[in-house]
Amino acid sequence: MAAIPVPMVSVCLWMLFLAISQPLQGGVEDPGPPFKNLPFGQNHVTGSWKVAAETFFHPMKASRKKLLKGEGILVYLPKGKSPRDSRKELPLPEAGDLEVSLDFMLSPKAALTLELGNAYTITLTDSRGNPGPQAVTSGTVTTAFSGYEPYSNVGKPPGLWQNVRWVMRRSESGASRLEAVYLNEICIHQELEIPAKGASKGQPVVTVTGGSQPFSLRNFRYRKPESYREPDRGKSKTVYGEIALPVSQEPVLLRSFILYGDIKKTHILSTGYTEQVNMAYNLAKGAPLLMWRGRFLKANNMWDQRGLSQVAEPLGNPLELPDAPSLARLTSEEMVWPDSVTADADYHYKGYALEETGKPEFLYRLGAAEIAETFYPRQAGVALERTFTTGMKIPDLWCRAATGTVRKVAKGLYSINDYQYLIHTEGAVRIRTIDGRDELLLPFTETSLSYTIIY
Amino acid sequence: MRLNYLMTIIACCAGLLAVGQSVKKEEYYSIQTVPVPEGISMEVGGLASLPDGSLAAVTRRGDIWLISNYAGLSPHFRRFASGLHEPLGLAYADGAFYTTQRGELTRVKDRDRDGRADLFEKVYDWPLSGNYHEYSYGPVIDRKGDLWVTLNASWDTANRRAQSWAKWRGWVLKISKEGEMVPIATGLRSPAGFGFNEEGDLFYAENQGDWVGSGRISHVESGDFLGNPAGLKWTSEPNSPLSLNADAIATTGETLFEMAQRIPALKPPAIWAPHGIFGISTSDILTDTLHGDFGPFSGQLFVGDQGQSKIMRVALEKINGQYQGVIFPFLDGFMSGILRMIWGKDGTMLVGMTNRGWASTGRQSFGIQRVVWNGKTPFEMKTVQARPDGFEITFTAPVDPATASEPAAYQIQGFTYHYQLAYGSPVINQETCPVQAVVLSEDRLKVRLVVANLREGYIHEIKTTAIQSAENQPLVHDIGYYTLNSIPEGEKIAVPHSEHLHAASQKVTKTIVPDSFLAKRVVVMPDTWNHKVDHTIEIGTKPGLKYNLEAFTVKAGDRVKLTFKNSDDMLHNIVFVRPGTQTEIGEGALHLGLGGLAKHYVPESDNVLAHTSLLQPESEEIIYFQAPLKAGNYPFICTAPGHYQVMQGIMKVVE
Repeated sequence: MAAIPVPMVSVCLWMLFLAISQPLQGGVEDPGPPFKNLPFGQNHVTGSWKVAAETFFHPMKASRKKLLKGEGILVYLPKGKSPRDSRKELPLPEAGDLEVSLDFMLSPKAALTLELGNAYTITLTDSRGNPGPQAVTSGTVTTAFSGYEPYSNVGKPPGLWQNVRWVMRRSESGASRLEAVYLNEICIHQELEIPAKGASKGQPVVTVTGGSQPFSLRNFRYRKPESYREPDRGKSKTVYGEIALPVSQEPVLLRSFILYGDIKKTHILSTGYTEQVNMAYNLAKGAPLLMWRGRFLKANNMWDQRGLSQVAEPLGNPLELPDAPSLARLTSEEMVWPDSVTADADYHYKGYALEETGKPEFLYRLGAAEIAETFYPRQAGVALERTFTTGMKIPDLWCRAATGTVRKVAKGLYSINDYQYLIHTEGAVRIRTIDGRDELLLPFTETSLSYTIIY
Repeated sequence: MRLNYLMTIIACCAGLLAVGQSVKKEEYYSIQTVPVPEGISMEVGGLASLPDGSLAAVTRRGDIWLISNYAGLSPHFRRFASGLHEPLGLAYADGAFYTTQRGELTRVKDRDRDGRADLFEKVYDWPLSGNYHEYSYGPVIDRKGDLWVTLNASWDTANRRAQSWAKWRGWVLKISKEGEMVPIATGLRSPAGFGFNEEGDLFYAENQGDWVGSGRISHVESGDFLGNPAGLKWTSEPNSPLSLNADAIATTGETLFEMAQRIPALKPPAIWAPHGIFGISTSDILTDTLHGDFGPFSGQLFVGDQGQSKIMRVALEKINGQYQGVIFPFLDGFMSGILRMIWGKDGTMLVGMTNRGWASTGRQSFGIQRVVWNGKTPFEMKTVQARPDGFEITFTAPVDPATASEPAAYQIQGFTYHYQLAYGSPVINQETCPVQAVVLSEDRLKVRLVVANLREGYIHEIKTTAIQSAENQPLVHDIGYYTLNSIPEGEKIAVPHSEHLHAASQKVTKTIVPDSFLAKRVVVMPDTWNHKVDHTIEIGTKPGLKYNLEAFTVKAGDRVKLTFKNSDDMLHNIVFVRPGTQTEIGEGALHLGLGGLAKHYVPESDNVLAHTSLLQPESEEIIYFQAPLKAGNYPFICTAPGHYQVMQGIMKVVE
């Protein structure tokens, strides 16, 4: 959670964003050669296509969008429902095997397609209305012969930057093979092959086609892929020998150890919701630790042989949230947020109840107050609404909804860590900065409080 | 009922076919399997009997199952709860389940009574370091309604010893239903099983390991230190009932009993269960509270064993205020590794099993079986009690005086174990105890033995092979081990020529390691090899009783240098055997008896080609041997008791 404080742009309520600052491609363990960037400049500008330094689309309100003048980001702002210039060719300067990466941010209900040669079309959508792999699930690939659903639904909501990356191999004859497609760093397709007949020769081109709703693109880049590496499909797809916990009709819960960074956390309850959103909660602190889209947990390290590590593995790309108490009584504006629970601290975990639907309600005591806490999937699983109920009014009680860099991007909507995730709240907030870290604080004015994590 | 009838017919037929053979145990107790539907991993962590007569089982995967009609041919399974973290115990009280997860004692309730749990309340929780060995067991509920849990010590791979890396690892805790915790005792290493006897006193079963020479059963009272020093780390806590410091415990050459004479908190076990003979991993303890409805052993303790898939029987007595007693075999041949035993409402013993990660003689991965007493009294030693000058054996049926009156009908020897940091212990200080006189009671149910060379603090093996019942039946089991911590005061029986007989007691020869052993375990490269090795190989271990190599290939006659690295937390060896003889050698190791460990569990046999010694955890040994001249697949096995069936590999010898 590297938080780099960046000066605020006064005309905008949101901050200047360095397009390069989010290393979405490859990740830290990527051993491949560096990617070559293909910047989006003024040459791309036509009627429906603009360039900008920054964009934001409100995930819940289609009309709310923001653009900041500059270059680096290619924005599709369709003139009409099906503008003539909805297609844009993005040539790649080299032929042969290529690994290509592209960041995209959708507006509500937006869809775009990426045609790779004449062989494959990747459809990227706001798939909030379609939990589970369906034909329009973000990441679906179609060829002349068939459609291929992604292994799991790992799309993020509008307003957040996402990444799509693919490895394409081409033979001399012109046949092409889509070796792997990754959405938000999770492998969603592997080994799709097209014979020479349907493929194109010559210089490769990625053709982007928009629809009736805006989106933006950045970080278009490519490199020569390494020799074949088996992608880790295990996070998105059942693999041989895997002991995964399937979630179908009702939520599935599991207590286990969980890795938080490199640290083994020992008192964790994870919930896999039916909307394909999952959350790991630290019972020792009253803190949601991880949230991820897609499949739930793999339990091989618990249930195979002795299960030496006892660590359950999230089958997705988890968002790490702070491992600190979420509630505290702040008796002054300067009082530092308590980051740990000590034996004599106020927090006393009591247990959890299951609602009719099977969702857990976390129960604990904070001083003399009895607190109940729920998480409900919202917006088809890209969001979790967290609600605290205190039973009685507690003076000076605050909820810390986020730490890192916190910027207001719309009414009641806050970008955390440069669009890593969003927090939505209807209520009052206070943003304060302590030791270079922002905190998004929500005061308890009533006996309940809610906010939504959008990821 | 129909099933019982069927079983009886089968047992009768088997009996007819086996005329002239030894006793058929099934005549008295039969083992019946509770069918488990396909797809349920019934790896039992805990069992509980419910008021309506049905059964509840909690699994290592964290589910609670309700099982009704479990004695029928098609029991009904219903999942009541799920998502628990490796629960290893289950109890039912006041309309709620209590179960111990890795880090928490939890109360599980069904508030709306729809058959599905909807409230998981913390009763008490404790920290964890995350080490795999930090298993948490229980609860067992006492008469007052308090909940007792035991916490396994952590396993320190680097230092090959148990540790207490989080508070209260290695302790027994008493916890009220309201969550008030009282630490009771420490010195526990691997306390998977514990239970109360009829008097309400708590006993727990321990497994061999560091500071634990062999499996044992200890009486647990507040302030006890029960042998493994890991948990002493927390004796400076304000609520610790003892103040003994871990520094006080060192490998001095004293036995545990001897050290206990100068360290009052250290309590010797009431029962030692000789390793490999009476189990390799003692588990649950169940007191016979059925007052005769389960046979003649009312008030005694049944003790399960995970690795050997069997149940033993313990009869305790109190001498000079302390428990001690005798352990006998009871029943073997269960389908998997026994972890839990409870009484069903129907008066049968329900046995819950799992062998994931720890292989067991019963080859199934998991299961539930019932032990049904068929109403006939087995001819057994019911109990052995200490007397000022010997022992008194009580039988379950009158004995035949012709076979029971002679001293020669009884063979007794004493021995003990090291008290040491090293893993396990060989049998030490083995000496015979001549029986000088036998006095048969009028009802012929008891024999009083006058025995020489009794030693306090020693285990006494009592063999009674020749004895028959008045109806000329042999004993179902002819052996028991009495742990004689204290010899009672009282009247002795006058024995003529006792001095002469006393002189006959002798040390059992210590050189039980045959010369051939040395020949097959060569740890220095033979001079004749001229520093030349044809094949160098390294074999290690994987958790769960496995070698890290399934097969390797050598040429016939190759000079092989083998490094065996035991990186597991148990004792292991490698024994190369002739093709097809792994069962013979593996079983042979089990029959080595008390001397097994001293012989590194390698039986004397031409079918043994080469072997290492029995290696401590996290240690290694290099051996040299010449590959057989004849091509073929030569198995290598670990002959530590209970391991050979799964811990195997193949040496392929090619021309």
